[in-house]
Amino acid sequence: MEWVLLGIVGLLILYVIIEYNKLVRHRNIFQNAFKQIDVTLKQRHDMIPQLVSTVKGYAKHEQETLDGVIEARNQAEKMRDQTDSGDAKSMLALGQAEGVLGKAMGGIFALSEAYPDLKADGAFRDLMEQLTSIENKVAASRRGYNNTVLEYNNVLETFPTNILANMFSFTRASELEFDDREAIQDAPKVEF
Amino acid sequence: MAATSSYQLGANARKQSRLMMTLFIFSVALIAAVIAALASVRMTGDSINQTEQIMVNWQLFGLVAAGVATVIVLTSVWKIVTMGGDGAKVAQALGATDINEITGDPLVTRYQNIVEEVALGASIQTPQIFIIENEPGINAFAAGSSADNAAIAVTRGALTLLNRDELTAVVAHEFAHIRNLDMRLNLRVIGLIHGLMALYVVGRILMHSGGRGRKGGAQILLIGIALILLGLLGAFMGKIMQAAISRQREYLADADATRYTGDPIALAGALKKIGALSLQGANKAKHDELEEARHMLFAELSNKMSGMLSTHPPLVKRIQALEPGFDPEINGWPEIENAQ
Repeated sequence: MEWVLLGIVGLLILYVIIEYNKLVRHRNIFQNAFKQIDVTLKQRHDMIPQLVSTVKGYAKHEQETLDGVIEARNQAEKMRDQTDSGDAKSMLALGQAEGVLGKAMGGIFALSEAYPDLKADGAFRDLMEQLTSIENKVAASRRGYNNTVLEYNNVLETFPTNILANMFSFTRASELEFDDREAIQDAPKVEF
Repeated sequence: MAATSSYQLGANARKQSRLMMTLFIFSVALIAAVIAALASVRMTGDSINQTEQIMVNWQLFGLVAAGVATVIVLTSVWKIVTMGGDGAKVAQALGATDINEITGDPLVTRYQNIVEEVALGASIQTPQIFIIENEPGINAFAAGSSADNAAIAVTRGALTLLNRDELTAVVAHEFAHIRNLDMRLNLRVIGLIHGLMALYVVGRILMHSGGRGRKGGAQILLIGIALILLGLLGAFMGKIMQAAISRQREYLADADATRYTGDPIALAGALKKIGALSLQGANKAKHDELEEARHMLFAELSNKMSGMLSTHPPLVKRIQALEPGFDPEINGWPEIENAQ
């Protein structure tokens, strides 16, 4: 009788170890995926000053728009610095800041339509290609991150793993959503 | 054909690819069994008399079957090892040039950016990037036996004639080949074909040594002939199977590319431009090396090899899988204009 009990306890411990490791593995995966977003967002932010100074040369009277972009960029960079991966609050704040930045950048793209000289500038075209690429990378890494978060949450919330997750204080991770869908659609396609 | 979702397309292609591989292994086993039977089955008594008494020497049967299988396997492995799985080496051998620094060419920069974007989307590491210069047609290939040593190459024509979305679709198609380990599968199939060709060589040797009128010479002669016939037949069947597997893998890669980019129209657009070029007879390869590697390319070089030995599905069918209503008679092929 004791042997049976001992066996059951042993199996239970084994199960706890396996499930715990699974949770840790999935948490590492989504945190790593967030690092990828962090890298691409940094690239996006680093591009902005160059973009603004290039546009400034052609569109001197658009100071307001350009200041808006710089401000949005600084705010987004601040959020990126403070962000704790997966935390609901900071994901929301980062998503909003990036959304504002995306809209402000959309304003620059729209503005470039009014300045043919700017659109024809080789440096501006190169910049546009870099920006298009970074936007695609941000989108791809965000999709990748959201998928890993979904997988982690699925493991976390299914019974009976959810009991374990509670015991070891694993918390639900948040996806990153940008509020800038129109802005991206508004961005003109640059064709070479 | 009704509209098929890319997911279904992928599932179907996977199932059929598996079926092909099973068939291939089955035919190798069959060949080994036939040769072994020829060697081990003996008519006792006078074979001229009608007293049929069939004796099977099972030990000999097992020995010969194992021998035939070993010859096939060893030759295959040898071929696979010598062909090598390093994507960069394959790309260089095919006349592609490595680009790993900033070139200042906006088209090349765009291509490099696209490769990085798709790599991120497919979550595999960025492969080595190559261009096939002086090649005005639209084509591309991926090489390498795994994601670690993969290389991707596109022609200069693909850079100038495709727009950003279309080039992204083509690159995503090649990434799907890398991710699905199609290069490795293809390498193995080529290895197997060489293994079967080795039977032909062994058969030739047996024919020569068997014709010396020794005891049991007739049987050795018979085995020699069987080896030659089965080796040739097997290699021919192998080529047909290789082509069939390759065709399915192309559909699969198209479906996966659509999944990565979410844009079937761009891939269809790239294929249509290839169709338009082919009609003008302008999508041939200038490099002879490329002609040999036609099974690896994004699009078939010519329509000479249609049917069973064709390594790619017909272009129109590939387009229709992405854009169900397409009919070249009604919609026509697009005008090709140089982007730069």
